[in-house]
Amino acid sequence: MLRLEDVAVSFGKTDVLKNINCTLEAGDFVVIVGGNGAGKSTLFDTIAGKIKPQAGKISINNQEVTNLDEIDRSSLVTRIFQKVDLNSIGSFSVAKNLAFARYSRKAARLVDGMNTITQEEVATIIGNLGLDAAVIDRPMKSLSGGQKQLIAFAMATQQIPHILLLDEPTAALDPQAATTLLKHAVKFIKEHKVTTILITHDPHIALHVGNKIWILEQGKIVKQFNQSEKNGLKPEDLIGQIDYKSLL
Amino acid sequence: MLEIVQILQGVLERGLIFSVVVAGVYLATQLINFDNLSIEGAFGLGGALTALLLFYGVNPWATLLCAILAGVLSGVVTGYLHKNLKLNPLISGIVMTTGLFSILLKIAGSNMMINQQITIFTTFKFIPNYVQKLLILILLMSLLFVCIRWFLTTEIGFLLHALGDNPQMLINVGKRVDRYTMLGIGLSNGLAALSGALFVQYTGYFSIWASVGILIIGLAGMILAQSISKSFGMGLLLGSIFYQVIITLTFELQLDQSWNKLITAVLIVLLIVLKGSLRKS
Amino acid sequence: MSYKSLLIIILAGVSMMIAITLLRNKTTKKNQYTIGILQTAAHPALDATVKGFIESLHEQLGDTVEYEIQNAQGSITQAHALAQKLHIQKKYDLFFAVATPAAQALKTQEHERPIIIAAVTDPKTVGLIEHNGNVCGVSDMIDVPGQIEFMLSLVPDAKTVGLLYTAGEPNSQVLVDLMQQELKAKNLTPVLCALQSETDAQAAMELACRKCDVILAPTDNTVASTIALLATIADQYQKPLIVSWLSDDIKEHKGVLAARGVNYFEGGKQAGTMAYQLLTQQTTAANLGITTIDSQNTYIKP
Repeated sequence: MLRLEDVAVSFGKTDVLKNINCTLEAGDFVVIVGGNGAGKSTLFDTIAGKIKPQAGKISINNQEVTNLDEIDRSSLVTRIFQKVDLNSIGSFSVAKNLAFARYSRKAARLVDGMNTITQEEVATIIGNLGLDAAVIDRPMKSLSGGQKQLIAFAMATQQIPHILLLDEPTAALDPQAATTLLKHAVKFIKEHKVTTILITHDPHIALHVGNKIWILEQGKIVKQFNQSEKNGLKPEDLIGQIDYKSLL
Repeated sequence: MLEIVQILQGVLERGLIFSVVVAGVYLATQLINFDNLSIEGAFGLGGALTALLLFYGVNPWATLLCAILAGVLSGVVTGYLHKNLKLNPLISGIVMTTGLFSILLKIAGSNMMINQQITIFTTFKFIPNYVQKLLILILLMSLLFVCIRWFLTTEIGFLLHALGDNPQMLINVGKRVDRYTMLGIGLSNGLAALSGALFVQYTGYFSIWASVGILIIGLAGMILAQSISKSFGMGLLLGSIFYQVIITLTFELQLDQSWNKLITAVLIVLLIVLKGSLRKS
Repeated sequence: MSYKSLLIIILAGVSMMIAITLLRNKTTKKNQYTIGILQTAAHPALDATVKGFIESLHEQLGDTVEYEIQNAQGSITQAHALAQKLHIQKKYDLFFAVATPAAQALKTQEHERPIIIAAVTDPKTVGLIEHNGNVCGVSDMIDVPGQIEFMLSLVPDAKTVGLLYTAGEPNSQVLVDLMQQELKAKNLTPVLCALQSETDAQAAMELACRKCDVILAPTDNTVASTIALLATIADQYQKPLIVSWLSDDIKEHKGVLAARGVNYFEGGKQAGTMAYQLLTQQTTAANLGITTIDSQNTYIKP
């Protein structure tokens, strides 16, 4: 459960987030829709602890976390970045990355290969993602964007997250890869009732996943739609679209 | 003929001593992705401390240990400057080396001779001196490289590797990036200090100017080693020896001495290109 | 596979080295002496020293002496490596080391054949002299009281004296300490202007010019290398600059008011005479010891 009260963030003289008030109950899956510069990434940075708000309170599970830094908050907030390379260790193999993902503060002594995961488990995970077993020993950086994000998602969910932040996860993916990723994510989130926030500028995603939609515009949450209110919404209601006609 | 063997021995010995700096540069640059300009300061620190401690009769092997610890401390402070005080990484290194210069002057003055009768190279009374130097260096380096290689497979080793690749991953598992950076640079400088200590015991004196140019020796050795493999190993040792061969070759050619630096540069390029074409065939 | 190719390359380099060394080993004729000269760096004072050395020996022994000059180009590591090489080769009868790094590098490795040193201000402090050692030579220590007198004779109203030197240079430190003592004894105020390297010579000099009535420079490698710049600044600020050594280029710099001290060329010649004595007479380095170069030479800008 996540609550933001009167949260405001500014960089120098510019106000990036103004008066954010919102609550996420356990099991909610919110899609935040907003254009570039609306403040989406800043919002995530604030929730995750990379940025300390100039004003306001942030609580997770009724515990105030405003003064916790990113490292201390990392056990509560799991984030998948838009920039694919931030979600894994490029020079490590896929198997090693998955092992690393299971590593937590309470990890047992690790030896070469980081025995937090077995080969069978790795194979199962890769299989479930629909990926070729050949990728297991390849360095992460040699994979395609779609493969990387899929594995990143698997990594982020090796331990069930308290709060899951998905930062435009499909922005750099082609439709097929995007579909695979979203399918997989939605299934996992539903199955484990993970409290999730997904940021996108694609309104179609907002209409088809999750149970709530928030519209972020110029640093403010201007509209909130819950499950029942979502029905009947059209993409244009959420955000502007590419005007293809004007290109001709 | 014997003379040539002795010259080669000298090249080998220097190559071994400087391979520790190469390893230090590797830890900083390749492992944790930090361009460590404090390496020269650490080299000097190790040397000065060794000279001073030997003067006070401390066991020569113990002085190596002290040198390493001092080096590690200098690395930790450099890391602190960068991560906690938010200084640019290059500036942090420069600040450390500059500050250390004054500290070194205070520790050992600008110049200090040591008693060559009591160094790590005189540990075994029954082995003649000219053999003992090489022998001890080989033993020491083998041990060191095996230790470092093992270390890199431990949990901390992995975390340092991850740190250099993507610090965000450390945050994700709740590990403090600043602490691991300080550790990484600390290890890097510890090695440089060890090299400096060895150099003083090997040459018989400490000079504050000896550390000038050490960074280049470390970088050149590492780059030459990279042409074999990107990972840590014997390659670094060979890279260091290789560089010493090039330098010695330059002097052997005995052309107008002013051209030496250019010749060194040309030789490095030649040999790397040769290496590249050999690899392709 | 890749280790193998690097090893091949190293072997190639080593073979080249061996080939070149062998080719360069000419057989020495009878009655010929070979002297190994290790020069720390290339700069006017040291160059002059070596020149003087060779000339003096040439006068006395003609063509029977062969010289091999190695230049460490300012690197301690290089000095050591070159000294090692010199020490290894049996063909050298004696060695000539110019400036402290070269002297120390040779001294720590060569314990039998004589080593003549030059351009070292205080050989004892840097550990070169031992009882019955094999080191002798010329020291460029100057007569400090005389130097101060000389300075006062040119600039009698001086109150503050800037001492320009390199921090970390043992030879300069020795001189600066003596100068400080002497200046204080004469109720003058010494101002220490230490520089780290050639790059901050300008800053140090400008500071000295602003704060002091006269600038005195001891025999210091970095100061000697940057003398042209220092002289220009002295001229700019119209402050008297007095140096403690003589070399041909001193006279060319407008800003240098006067010089009093050692003439490195002469010093080299003195060292050359020592070499002659060691080679032809039954004497040892321990006997010859360290002598100072005549430091009364003066030059005053006309």
